[in-house]
Amino acid sequence: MTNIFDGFFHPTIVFFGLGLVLLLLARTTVTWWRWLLPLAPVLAIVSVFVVEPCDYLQLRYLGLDLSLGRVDSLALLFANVFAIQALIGFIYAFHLKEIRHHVAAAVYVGGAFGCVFAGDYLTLFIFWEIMSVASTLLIWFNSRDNPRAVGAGIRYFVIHTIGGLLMLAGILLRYQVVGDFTFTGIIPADAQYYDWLIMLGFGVNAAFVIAHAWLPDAYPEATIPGAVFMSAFTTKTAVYVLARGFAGWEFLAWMGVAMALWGVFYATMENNARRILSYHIMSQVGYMVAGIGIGTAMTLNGTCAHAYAHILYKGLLFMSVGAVLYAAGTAKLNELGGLAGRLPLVMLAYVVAGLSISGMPIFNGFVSKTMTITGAFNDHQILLGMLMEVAAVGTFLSVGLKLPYFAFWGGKPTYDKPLKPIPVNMYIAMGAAAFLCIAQGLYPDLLYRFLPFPGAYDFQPWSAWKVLMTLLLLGFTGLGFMVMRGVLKPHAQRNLDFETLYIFVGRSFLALVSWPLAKIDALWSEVYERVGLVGLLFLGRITSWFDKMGIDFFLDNSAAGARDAGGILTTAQSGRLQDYLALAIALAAGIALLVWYLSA
Amino acid sequence: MPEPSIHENTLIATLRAQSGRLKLLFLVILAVLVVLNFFIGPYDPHVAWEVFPGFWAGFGFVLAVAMAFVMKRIIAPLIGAPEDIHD
Repeated sequence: MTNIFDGFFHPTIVFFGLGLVLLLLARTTVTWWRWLLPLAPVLAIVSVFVVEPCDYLQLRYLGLDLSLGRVDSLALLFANVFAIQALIGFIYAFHLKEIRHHVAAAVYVGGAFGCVFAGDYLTLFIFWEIMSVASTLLIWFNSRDNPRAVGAGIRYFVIHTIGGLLMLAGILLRYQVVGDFTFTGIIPADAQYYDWLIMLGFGVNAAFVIAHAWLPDAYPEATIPGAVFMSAFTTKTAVYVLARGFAGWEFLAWMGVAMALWGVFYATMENNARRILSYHIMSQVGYMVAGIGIGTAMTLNGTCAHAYAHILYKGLLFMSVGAVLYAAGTAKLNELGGLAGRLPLVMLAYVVAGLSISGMPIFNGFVSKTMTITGAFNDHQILLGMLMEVAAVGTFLSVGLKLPYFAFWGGKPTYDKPLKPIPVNMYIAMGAAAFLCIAQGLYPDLLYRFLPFPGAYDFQPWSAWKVLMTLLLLGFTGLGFMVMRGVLKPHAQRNLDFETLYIFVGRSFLALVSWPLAKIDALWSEVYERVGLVGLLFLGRITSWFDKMGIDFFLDNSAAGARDAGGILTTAQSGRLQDYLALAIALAAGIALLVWYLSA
Repeated sequence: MPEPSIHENTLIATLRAQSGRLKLLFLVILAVLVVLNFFIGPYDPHVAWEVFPGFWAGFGFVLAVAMAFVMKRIIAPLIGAPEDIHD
């Protein structure tokens, strides 16, 4: 084993260490533990910024070659934004007194870093599952305030377990053929069935259409800071592994566009603000998956840039909607309205994030999303490119306009119930994210310098035409919203999605398993009652007879004697005075006769 | 003691009172953008229709209206369910 810390301090150690220390401090009376929360991500940021690309932490364990520290430009880009978002997330969660929540968040973030730096499938799988368990806790920890979190958390965990098993099956089958666990890119022409299994396992976490429903089902039910963390790490870790392993797979190009459209279509109908944002994770991840599928240097850079920008603005969206939920106690649009005047800073933070996700010039979505779309057109994928533009219209319509309009601006009477004051740390976190969204939009170099594929500067977003085209597209989407805002008014309903299928399949499976079991159980009870019980009683009688007539008789008959004597004594105790008098007289007569006989 | 609450911000209240003027300003900006489209076009068009001024304006408007109508008026009533359906 080489010197495992040589040149690279793995951020996972920092976050797992944070989790451990918090667990140890949980039973003490110290209050300074919360200052450790921002410290861990700061150390992670330092680690990511100072490390040189190289293979670190190469271990040989149980005859297997494990790689815990593959540090290259692709891994570093994701690690970079993960570290920054972890800092923002822990600042946002700073006021939270529940230590177990911070432990789960730290383990979850540590798991994400483990996945990003994993050079082999086995290491990846282990950290992948750690993330799955820790993120489930971030949903379940909300069950005191939101009973719906229990069921959503179970569904989330079951789906991720199925995804993990698909991935594990693929990994093991691949190992049988290839003979090692090395995690590298797979050329589409060489793809085998086990590669598809691995890719579909990744796809569950990336929210591929059909496998996606866990996302809008679970994220709206998580704790407020929990959803902020989850919006950043699960799907983007999946984007990272897809970019690493499956670049150029055409299936992903079409799947990505389907995700982009599915997400915006549902978001257009939704009422719960956090569910709208969840559908937009799916939609935005769709752009990234499409970029991976197209597989040119520009679209892959677009995917990376968009993942980076997305983590920042999506975190900000969840933070600002979380702040509304914190203050008002609800995130349902039909119950909110006109909050701009009462939560102006939250509204501003939301608007920055909403314009970023919509790709408005000045904000970071503009410099990232346009790269993927331009890459698609440059690769002559006209239909894919146009469908991505359709999704861009839907994005601005639903999350850039509908959500803030009905929560913060007009359309309905102003929300006039009392609002709980929002902790200052939540404002600081939102301010930091908003600053970064604008800074990257204005100075794309802040983002492009980290892009891992060649030709990162071939794309220039700030041209007169690109700005004008974007303003025309989004501006007239705004006009469309103005015309249709009466139609778009939110209603208190849930729109059924594939989670209904999951529940149906789950219940059918349960029925399928429990019905035959119940029948077999009933039949067995009947047989036991009719045959078994009678047989047992018969056997009991035989053994009892054998005991009495066999063993006891041949020994000294003491048991039967003692029983018979006891029986006589029992009947003698009748409680009637005349019986006792008769017995006493008989006894006295007997004794007198005995004395007379002996003395004669 | 009742919990403290957050009250209306006066600047935002003033702006909201001016919503009619803001709408007018928005429409003027849209008109200016379309006019600019006559002078600024794509250097390397991705699709043939892009060269027509106002193409992306029409694209955005038509799709926004169509998407809002189809999703809210046709699809939502078909797949709508009570919020507690899975509880």
